Amino acid sequence: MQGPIGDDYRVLQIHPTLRCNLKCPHCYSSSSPEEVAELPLDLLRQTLSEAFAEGYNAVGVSGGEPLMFSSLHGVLEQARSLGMVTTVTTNGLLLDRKRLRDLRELVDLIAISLDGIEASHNRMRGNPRAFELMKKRLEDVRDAQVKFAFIFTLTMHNLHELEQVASFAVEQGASLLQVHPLEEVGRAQSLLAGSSPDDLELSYAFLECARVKQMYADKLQLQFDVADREVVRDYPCKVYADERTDLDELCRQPLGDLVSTLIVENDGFVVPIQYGFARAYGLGSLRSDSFRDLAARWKADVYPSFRQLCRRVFEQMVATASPSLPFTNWYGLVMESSYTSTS
Amino acid sequence: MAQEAARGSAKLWDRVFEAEPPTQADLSKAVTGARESYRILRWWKYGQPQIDRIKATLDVRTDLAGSVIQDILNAGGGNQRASVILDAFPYGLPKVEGVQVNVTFEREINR
Repeated sequence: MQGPIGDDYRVLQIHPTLRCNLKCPHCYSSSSPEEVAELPLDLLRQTLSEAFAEGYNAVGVSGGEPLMFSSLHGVLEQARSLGMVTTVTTNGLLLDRKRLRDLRELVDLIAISLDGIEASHNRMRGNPRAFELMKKRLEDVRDAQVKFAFIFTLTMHNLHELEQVASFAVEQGASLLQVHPLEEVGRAQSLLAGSSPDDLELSYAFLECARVKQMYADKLQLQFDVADREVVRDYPCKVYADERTDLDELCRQPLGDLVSTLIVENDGFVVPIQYGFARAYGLGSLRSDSFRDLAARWKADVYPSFRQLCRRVFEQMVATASPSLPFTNWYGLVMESSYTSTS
Repeated sequence: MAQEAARGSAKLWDRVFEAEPPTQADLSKAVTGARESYRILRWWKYGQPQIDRIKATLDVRTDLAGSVIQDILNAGGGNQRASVILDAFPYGLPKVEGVQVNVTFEREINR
């Protein structure tokens, strides 16, 4: 059965810690080596079980650097035992053979950050050897036969590097290249202000993605995370903006049928859509209530206003459509609106 | 962190085509043409790779690709610049060599 926006997967993304071995200027969660707190394994195990019961069938572990999270194995093991699909998003520097041995049976896909050619990547990662060290690990990843993807953060200034990034991805045997526009949240809000690509740059990026896609048609999947206003206009359900008169009935469905992705933030607070979403639209904290209880309350109390928020963003998107600038970063728009919009 | 002034797209044109990026009208035409063959039907959040990893986000309608390109060529009506823009994004064209010839032509008309 498909999820609320037409996907086969309903995703729970967990940020169990903000601890990281790097301190990237574009990090949306402001992770760093100074952060030490972690979510407890027992809490996450219970959350996974209850989320699974609510229809979530995929879990993504992010961070912080998930490979620095002491209970990563336990979380993935629990997800696997439930039959969930699993992904881990990492900067790749800690993917040694031992960790890969631990992960190989538990992870469907490892996503590795790659922010451009070597010099750009190192600058974005705040480490002069980040690229070299990450590249060195890829041989072990291939040996472990774990599928992996690269994530490229598209800024206003780096589209010209996409072809080289794709070439590197193919050369290294990646299955997928995710191209995601920079969002000015977290540390990027102050350190990379003005660097997120505007709609004009997204149009060029679409064309470049299509060109690169054609170059590597059979060798690499390309995922470009922008919303096409025309698709949104035709399928408002993809942005939770379809007009429904049966909200009461909808609220009786499992939460996974109503919203995906759902995020567990590093302090245990659960929000829809993405990390940092306004907590007024959130479910609440797992430290005070179970996932099951949070889900029940959210469906009754918050879901209608969440849909109203999405509807307002939808109307704004459709109203600003133009033939040359059809694309926009829906995540950025809805996130910003979650803070400025009143329900 | 120092901010870079130039757009990535401008650097792309400079590096690949040695020309200025196209006008808004040309861009519109190229985007419209490309969207006939490639359609973004789903967008994911940062750090969440497309899980099924088999289904492409940019769906290719190969059955349409050839005719779409032909339509764009016809719409160009002999306008050299429009042709060049098309060649910058040769969706559906079977032979890459043909593109390279036209890129040379782009350089000549911009000098």
